[in-house]
Amino acid sequence: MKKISAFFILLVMLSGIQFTSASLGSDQDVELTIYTYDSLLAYPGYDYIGNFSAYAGIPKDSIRLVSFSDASEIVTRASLEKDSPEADVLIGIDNVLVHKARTEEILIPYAPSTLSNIPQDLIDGLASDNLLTPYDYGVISLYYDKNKVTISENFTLTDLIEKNLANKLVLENPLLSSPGLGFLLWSIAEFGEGSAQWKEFWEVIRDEGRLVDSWGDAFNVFSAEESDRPIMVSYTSSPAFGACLYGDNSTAAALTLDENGKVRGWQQIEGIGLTKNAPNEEMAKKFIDWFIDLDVQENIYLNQWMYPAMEGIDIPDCYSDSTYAPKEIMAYNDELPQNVVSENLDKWLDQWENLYLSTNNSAPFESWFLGLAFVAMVVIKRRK
Amino acid sequence: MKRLSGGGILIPFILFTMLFYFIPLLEIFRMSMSTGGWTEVVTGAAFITFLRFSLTQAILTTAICLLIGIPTGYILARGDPYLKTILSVMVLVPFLIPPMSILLGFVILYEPNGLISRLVGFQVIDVFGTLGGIVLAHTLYNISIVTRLVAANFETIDEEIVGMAESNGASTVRLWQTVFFPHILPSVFASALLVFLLSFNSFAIVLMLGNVRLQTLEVMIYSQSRIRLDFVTASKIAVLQLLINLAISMTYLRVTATSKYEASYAPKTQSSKLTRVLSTLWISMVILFTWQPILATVYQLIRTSSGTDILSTQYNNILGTTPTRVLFNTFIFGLITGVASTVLALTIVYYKKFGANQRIPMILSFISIMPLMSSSITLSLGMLLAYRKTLFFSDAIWIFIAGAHVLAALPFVTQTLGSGAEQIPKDIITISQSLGASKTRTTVGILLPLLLPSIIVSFLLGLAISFGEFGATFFLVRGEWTTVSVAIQKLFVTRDNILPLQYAIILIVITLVSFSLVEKGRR
Repeated sequence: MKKISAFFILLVMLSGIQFTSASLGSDQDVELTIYTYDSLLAYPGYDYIGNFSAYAGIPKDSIRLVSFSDASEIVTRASLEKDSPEADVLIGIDNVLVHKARTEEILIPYAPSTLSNIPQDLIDGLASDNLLTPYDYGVISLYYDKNKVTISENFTLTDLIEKNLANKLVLENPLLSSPGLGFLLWSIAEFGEGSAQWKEFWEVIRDEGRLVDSWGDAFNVFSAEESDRPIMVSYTSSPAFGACLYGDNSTAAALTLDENGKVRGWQQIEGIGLTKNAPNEEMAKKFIDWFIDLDVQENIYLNQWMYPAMEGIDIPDCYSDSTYAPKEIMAYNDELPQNVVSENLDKWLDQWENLYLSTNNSAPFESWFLGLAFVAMVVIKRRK
Repeated sequence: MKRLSGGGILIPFILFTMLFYFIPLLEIFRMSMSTGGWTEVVTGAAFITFLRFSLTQAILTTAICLLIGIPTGYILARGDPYLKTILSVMVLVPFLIPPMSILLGFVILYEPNGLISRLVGFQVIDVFGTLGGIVLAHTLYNISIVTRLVAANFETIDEEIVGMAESNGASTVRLWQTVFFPHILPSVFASALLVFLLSFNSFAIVLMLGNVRLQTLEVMIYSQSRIRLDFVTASKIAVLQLLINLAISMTYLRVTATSKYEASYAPKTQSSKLTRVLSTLWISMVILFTWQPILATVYQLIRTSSGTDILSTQYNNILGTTPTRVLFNTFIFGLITGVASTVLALTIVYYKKFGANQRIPMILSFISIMPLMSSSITLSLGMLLAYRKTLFFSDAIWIFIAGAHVLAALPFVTQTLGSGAEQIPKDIITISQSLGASKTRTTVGILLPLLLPSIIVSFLLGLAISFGEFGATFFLVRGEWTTVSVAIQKLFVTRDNILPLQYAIILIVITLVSFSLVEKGRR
């Protein structure tokens, strides 16, 4: 008994010590809270927190950065907190998630002083009322390893089925991941939503493709030799990553080539926005102004692996050698304009989910066991 | 004190269950009824698929656990293995370890390039997104329940009847048919229902190993509410799940109520040396099988010499706070849970000893086990719905996390303290009072000292349950209140790194120490 009491006392003491040390580092001195996803400007890394603290003249410790594994989590978290928000700035909400952000009323429009850096078509493609301001954009593509799989120049999504490529594909769940959602929209734009072709396409992808939760998971599967999935849903800029950093030109990006000879794909525009009732509104505005200005924007190509939203930044050579330049691509977004997406998104996601659920490979197995359980119950009952 | 015996002492308990249990549940019911569309939900592909999956994997898990657990329980009780006490404690261990730690070890073992693949040269089983993977993980977790309950039931068998049957020349099959099986039926039933209930409501394991097609209703409630923000559908699913759980729990209570094991004192015939060796071997194999994830975690931690550790700040953004603060949070929630659940249970005991109406404590202890029937995700969804507009919810979310932890611990703590109090003879209290001691003096001077062992056990039980809690914390947590279990989940992709491994080991060690003290205190 003495030992138990000693353990108890020790625990209390330990916690006491922890408590004092934890309360020292409390939130009293936070001047800016940012919600974003964990891969923002991460490889090899541009220290946007450090650089902003120097620019704004506030201590680095006073900027609180909260990272999520995907942008959709930023929206759900912010909307759960909207009655008393913690975040000042939300980074990473794109031209699809923006609808959810709008209905949840987590942001307020803000036109940054540096807005003229950004071309009007990107602004209109994301939020013409400046609910969000674009900081980068990219095109969803099929990123693949040229040594393991061949994809022809005149590729269309149908090739995934007709040329037996679906069993080499790893893709992200559109309910959880923004590139995954982009791929779903690409397929809707290409086949037409609910069309027989669209259904057929997704039935094959469902049965043969490998679905994962996030871009990071997909990349792990893509990179692991033994999983044999050398095609993944990613961005047109992905091949530039290997080319620029390691001189590795073994990967490429595939987009649809339509009958008119145009390269087509779903364009994702990522935005930064000001939280409604942000605790530190002034600092948040200052941050947004800075984020779409040259300091950050010139680091987008080689750290964020997307195209910067700001005009007039030269594309690095390793990009133009390894992948599409943004100007070559004709985005599908014009076929699926903002209002159409916002009206139909939930319905499309439901259709997609139902399609994924409509198969049941384990059915014979399952009924066998249910039958067994039934027999067991009867036997036991009769014994009684 | 006099005023309190009138029932005032029960105010904290009533207030607590009102605020953290009944109001949230009512809010879920209200939300589920707020619109129609029940038919759409019930006949929707998602609900049907996930209900079927929840049932299938729970039935499979239960079947496999029974298949391994019944023989193991028999051997443990009647095979006379060497080191029986130690072995039977070791059998129970995996069940006590927090699910996130088990899961981490499990994935380290079975992932495509995991320890087992490297050992045997090929991938034995694909654990991600497969029924097999989820059932295997649940099985490792739950075999111990069947084994322990069945073994305890076997211990009480009447040796005279066994001896009689044997001397009359009954074959082994006949012996099982006529003596063993009828005798252990209650424990088989009870453990099967318990395993079924736990797998049916599984959250952490299915969240991490499942996918868009493989979800339990529990995971569906989570994704409908926290990912798609569709609270109405989530509430409807929660209500349906609650009804199913209620049915299973009621069956469980009926089964356990009608079967009180009676101990027999007749000596058992001595087993042969060979039987003893074989028994020991079998039990050790089962232990090795169910301990796999724990051993894998330890092995991986020893092998991983480099990487970020507990004092580093590299993962602050992902954790939402520092690694030391995560430990601090876990300790604080543990302490609050231990103290609060023990104090609440004590008020029931106090009322039972001094209160006027003896039916009230019965009702209260029934209320205290009710959280077992409503899953942790349902409760946290209820708290979110009921309180999200209040300032408390945004500024002091820790209160709700702690509340959820206390609710999770309450069923076990009230049972422990309740049975501790049963053992105090009523006479002592009557004598003390008739000699003129006040209720306060009787409580402080007699009741509390006599209850001290049970109080400490209850505290440790609350502590350990809080350390392992995942679902509600994961659902409710915001940034700085991350606990170790949630941190492991957030760091899951970095599982080869040292920090999640250290966290897992901390959880394993602390729960083991607490539970072994609990076992010691009970004896």
